Order: sequence, then C-alpha cells, then structure tokens
Amino acid sequence: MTSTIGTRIVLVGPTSSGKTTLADRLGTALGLPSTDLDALYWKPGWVGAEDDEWHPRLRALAAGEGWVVAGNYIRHTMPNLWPRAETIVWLDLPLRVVLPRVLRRSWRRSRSRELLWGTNVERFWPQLKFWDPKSLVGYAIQTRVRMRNHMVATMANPAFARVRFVRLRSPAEIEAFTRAIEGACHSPS
Amino acid sequence: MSHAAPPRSPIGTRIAIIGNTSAGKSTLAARLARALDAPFVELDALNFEPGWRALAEHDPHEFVRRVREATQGDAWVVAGGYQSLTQDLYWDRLHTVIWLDPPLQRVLPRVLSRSWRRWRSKELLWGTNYERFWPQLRFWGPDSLLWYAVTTQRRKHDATIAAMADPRWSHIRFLRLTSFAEVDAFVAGVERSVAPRAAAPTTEEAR
Repeated sequence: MTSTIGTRIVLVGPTSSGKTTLADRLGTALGLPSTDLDALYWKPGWVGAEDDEWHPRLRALAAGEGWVVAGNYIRHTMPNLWPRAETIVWLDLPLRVVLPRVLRRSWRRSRSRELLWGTNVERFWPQLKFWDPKSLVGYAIQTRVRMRNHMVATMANPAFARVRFVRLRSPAEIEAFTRAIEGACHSPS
Repeated sequence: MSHAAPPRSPIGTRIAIIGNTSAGKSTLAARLARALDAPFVELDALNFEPGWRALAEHDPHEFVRRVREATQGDAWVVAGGYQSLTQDLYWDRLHTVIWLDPPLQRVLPRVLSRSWRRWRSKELLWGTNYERFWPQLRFWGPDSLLWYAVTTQRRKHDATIAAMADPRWSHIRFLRLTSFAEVDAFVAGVERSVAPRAAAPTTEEAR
C-alpha cells in the first residue's frame, strides 16, 4: 500500500527523541518492518561495526522495498541509506524535552541491567559528563547545532529533491502527525 | 513563457511560502523567485483593494480569478497562505511548501517594527494601501496584527501538521524553517544548486 509518507522512511533526531518508538508505531500502521540502527551497529563491549561491514549492511537494508529505520549515523546513512528514502522524519525536539529523558532512560536501563540490542548494558554515570561528547548528555548538546545545519543543507540539496522532510518539534506534534498517518491507514478508502 | 525551469532546482518550480505574519514570507519568495527565474506572486497584493478591503472576504470569486491567473504557468513562487482558498486552486500542482515557523517571540517585535516603519514612511503597499500603526497595537482589536499573530499561530500549526500527513498532499515537500539563520542557509543552498557553475552533488543521485 502507499501512504502519505511512502514506504521507505527514515527517522532522525537527537538521542531520546523517540525514534525507535515512533519507527515501531509507523511500521505497525504501514505494515512495514522497523529497524533500529543502534542494534545494527553495536557489537558486544560497546564496539561499533567497522565501515566495511557497516556500509554493506546499510545498503542491504536500503535495497528493500519497504522499511522504517530509526537512527542518525548521518555520515554513513546519507550516502548508503537516504538516497532510497521517500520520507525523512526529523524529530527536532528541544533540549528541555530531550535531556530529562536521556537521564531517565539511562538510569532505568542501568538499574535494570537490560540487555540492549542483545549486546550491551547501559552505563549511567559516564552519561552525565556533559563536557564529554562521548556522554549522552554531551552528545545531545553538541550534535544539536550540527544536526540542524545538516538537515537544512539537505533540504536544499538536489540529490534529495525527491525526499519529503517531516520536521516535528514537540511531543504533541509527533502525536498528532502519527495519529493522522495511522488514521489514513485504517480508513476504508 | 520565458520562465524556463532551472534544471537543478532542489525545490521544484512551483512553490508556496506559508507562515505567520511577519515571518518573512515575501522576502524569501522574492529571493527564491530571483534564483529560479520564476514570477513572484504575493497573495496579499492580490487580496487587498484600496481601503484594506479584502477581496478574499468580500469578493472571493475575483480573488480566486486573480490567483488562478497568477499561478497558471509552470513556475512561480507564491508568498502567503490563504489555504482555505488556495488548496483547491494550486496545491495539486505544488512541488514545495516552505513553512516559515520562527518562534512568536521573534515574530512579534517584527510585526511592530514593520508596521511602524511602513506607517512612518507612508509606503504604498501593493499600490493600494497605507499601513496603519495604532490599530496593530491594540492587542484586543479585530484589526490588530499582534492579536492575529498570537491567536492564529496554534490553529495554523495544527492545520499544517495535518496537511503534511494528508494523502492529498503526499506529492508536496514541506520544508519547515524555524529561524532566520536557517532561512539564509537554505536560500544560499538553493542558489548554489541552481547557479550554472554548481558543483555536482557528492552523494549518489536519489533512486
């Protein structure tokens, strides 16, 4: 079936913006598989995949006819995944919404020792080092400006002239948009 | 039609710019029209008759006729929303909607400074009208732009989000810009793409 946002959808946004949750919801609504790039990238011991393994994986994913993919990795996805995307949904949430979520989620995960993507366990205290770009808090702050500059440049890039951009800026907007997509999918027409 | 489509426009050739009052719609539309060599259409200019008589209210047929005439070509950049009328007129042919969405605290001072400047200079707007200043200040008044900017913001937001999810408009790219710095960066990107010496994009061609 075709939807307003097509059948190949990328979700980007800061950490804890709700990319994976929304990917699952849209995947369910549109009848498409959803993928979390973190699960595709991380190996045990928080070791990331090497480019020569990572890029073919992204291209294989991109080759599919329908998918909802959650995750940034923009330097890698822009050449390997985005050219096949029909819509890029950008969850552009303000830091005051995102930061408390980062902390709550890290705390919960570190307490429960939940195994993430079958490979890794969350650490909590290192995430608080806001001056360290490797901490989630530092990462959220530093990537913010870079992400905005990058997305605005992509909107004006002829190579992506056929990609729709859906920029949502609050949890209420995300909810309204998602409901509208779900509603359109369930309507008899 | 002398307005041939520039070959590498990243935003197509039929473009509407929507957003709150004083968000910078006309300025952006004029810049893009120049970059794309397309006519610039200002809906306010088509709407307001002398004495601030709004055709869209008093004579919608004439307004529709004017808008239709201005948007019959293959390339144009329209500044202004008027969605309840224009969606039936040209949204099915739109390539791109650019949604200027700066925060209200940036918009409101611009409403005042623009009204003040236009009122002082007695600039003739669209050849028909002169700006009024004092009515804009009356927050509660029906003619106040301030009142308009604040009260319509929420409703227009909701309507635009709904339009982005509406299957009727799935052919339209909605590009939302939320600061004047973003607008500048975006226009610079478009101008670079359509410039004759534009470098080939470094990424693979989409599909």
